[in-house]
Amino acid sequence: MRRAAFFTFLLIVLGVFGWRWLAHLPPRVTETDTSVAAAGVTLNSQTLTLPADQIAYPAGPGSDVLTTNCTGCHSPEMILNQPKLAADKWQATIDKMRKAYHAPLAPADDARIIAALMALPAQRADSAK
Amino acid sequence: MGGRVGERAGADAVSAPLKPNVGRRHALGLLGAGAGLVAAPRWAQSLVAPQVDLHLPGGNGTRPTTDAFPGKTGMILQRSRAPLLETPIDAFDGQVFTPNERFFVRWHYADIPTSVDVRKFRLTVTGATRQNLSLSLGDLLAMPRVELAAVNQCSGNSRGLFAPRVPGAQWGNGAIGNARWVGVRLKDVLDRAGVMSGAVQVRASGLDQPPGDAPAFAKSLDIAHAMDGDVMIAFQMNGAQLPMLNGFPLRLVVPGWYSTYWVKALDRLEVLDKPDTGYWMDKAYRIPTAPHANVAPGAKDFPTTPINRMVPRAFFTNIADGAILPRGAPVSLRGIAMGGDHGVKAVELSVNGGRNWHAAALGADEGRYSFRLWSMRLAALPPGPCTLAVRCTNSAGETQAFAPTWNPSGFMRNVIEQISVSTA
Repeated sequence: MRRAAFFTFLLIVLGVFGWRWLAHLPPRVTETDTSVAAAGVTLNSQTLTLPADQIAYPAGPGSDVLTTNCTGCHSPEMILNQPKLAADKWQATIDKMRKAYHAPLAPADDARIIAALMALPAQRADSAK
Repeated sequence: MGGRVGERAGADAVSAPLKPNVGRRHALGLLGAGAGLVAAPRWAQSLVAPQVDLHLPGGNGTRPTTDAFPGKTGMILQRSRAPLLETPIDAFDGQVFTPNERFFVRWHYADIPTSVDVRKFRLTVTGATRQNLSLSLGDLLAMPRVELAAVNQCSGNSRGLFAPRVPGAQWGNGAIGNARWVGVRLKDVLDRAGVMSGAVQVRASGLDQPPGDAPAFAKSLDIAHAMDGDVMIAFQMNGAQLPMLNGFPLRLVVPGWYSTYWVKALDRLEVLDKPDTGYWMDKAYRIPTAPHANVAPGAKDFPTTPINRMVPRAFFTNIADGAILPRGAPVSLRGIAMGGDHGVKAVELSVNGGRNWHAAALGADEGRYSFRLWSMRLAALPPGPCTLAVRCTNSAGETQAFAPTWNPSGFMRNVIEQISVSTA
C-alpha cells in the first residue's frame, strides 16, 4: 500500500517536472565518419591543399642568397612587397629574424643578404620614390 | 557649396538606398576607370589575374589578385606563404557582412593546419583550473550558444599607407571584415574548468606551428576580459563552418579588439597565474602608450603596451580615388563604418576638406561590434576636382582625425579617408 502510494507520487513528480527536465538536457550530438552535429550546426572535416609560392625572386646575382636564407620561412612576396628601405632598416629586419624567430642566418652572410635586398627592383635608387 | 550639398543630403539621406542602386558591373566600371584597378586589357582579363593598385605612398603598391587559395576568390595576394590575402575594397560594397570567400587571411607561420578531423579534434583547457578539460567539438556544440556580429581587423591593417613607410605586411585597407559569429562563451568553457582565484590571464594558441625554435604564436587576455561574456569561441562564420584559412574549426572572437587576439584553429587555452611574458605579448603587437598610439617618426624608447581595442573607421566602397563622375548628375556614395569597441553613432561626409560635415544615412544596426553601412546621395558635385572625406563617430563620442597616426609597427591607422574625384 505504501509502495503504491510512493510510485503514484513518483509518477506525478515525473509528469510535472519531467518535461521541463528533458527540455534542459543538452542537445544530442550525432557523428559520422566526417562530421559532428548538434542542434542545427554541422561541422565537416576539412582538408586543404595550399598553392605553391606564386612569385619567385627576379633572376639576378642576389636571387640565390635570398632563396637560401629567406625562403625556408616565407615566400618571396614578403620581401618584394616592402617599401624602399635603407640598409640599416634591412639590417634591423635580419636581426629580428635571427633574434626573435631564431632563423639560422650566419652573421657572415649579412652583407651579402643586404646587398641582394638593396638590388631588388623596388629597392633600387632609380625606382619610383 | 556646403549648404547646398547639405540641404540635398538632408533631404535625401533618409530615403537614400542602402543597396547599390547602380548595377555591380557599373560600380566596378567606375572603380576600374577611376583608379586603373584592372590593368589587363579587356580581352585578356579572363587569362590574366587582374592587378590591384593599392596606391601606397612611395609606390610598390601593385598586387595580383588570386583564386588559388581554396575557399577564397578574388583576393589580393600579399604573400603566398604564410598566406596573407587582402579583401579588395569593392568586395565590401553594399553588404554589411563580408562573404567568407572574400574574407581576409593572415597567418604568421607557414605551417598552418591543412587537415582537421572533426571527430578527433580537441580543445584543451589547462593551468590554474580546478580541472583540466579536453573538449570535443560535440561537447562544444552541446553547450549554450551565442551569436554576435563583429568586425575582425588586423592590427596592421592599412600599414602600407603609413608615411614614412614602415616594414611589415604592406596591407592596403582590406585586412578587415565583418561576420556573424556563432559559438560558445569563453566564460562558459572557463567556468566548466573552474578558474582558480589567483589566475590573471588566459593564453590562447592554435594548430599553427612555428619553424624551428621560433616562438609559438599565442595571445593572452586578462581574466576579467576573458570572462566578460562577449569573448567567444566561434564555430560558425556567416552561417557556415569557418573556412580553413580563417581558423576552422574554432576561432577566438574578441569583439572590439584587433584580430591578433582572435586566435585561429584554437586548440589550447592555458589559465595563467602570472602575466604572459611570451614573445607575442611582450615584444610583438605593442603600441606606444601615447594618445592614438602616435609617435614622431624616428622616435625610440617610448613606453609601449599590448595593442588592444579598435578605433572608429569609415570607408568609401563604391567610388575609388581618382574616379571621374558625370557632371551635374546626382552621385550616390556608399560605404562601411565601424565604431571600434563601441557602436557607430554617426557617419558624416565632407566635400570641402572638413569645413562642413553632413550626416549620412545609416543601415541596419547589427550591434555595437559590427560594420554599419552608410549612404548618401549628393544632388551634384561642385565643378572641377573635389575631395570627399568620410568620418565615423562612435557612441562613446570618439571620432576620426585628418592627421594620421604614426608608429614604427604600422598599427591602428584610422585617419579620415579621403578620395579625390572630378566631374566630366
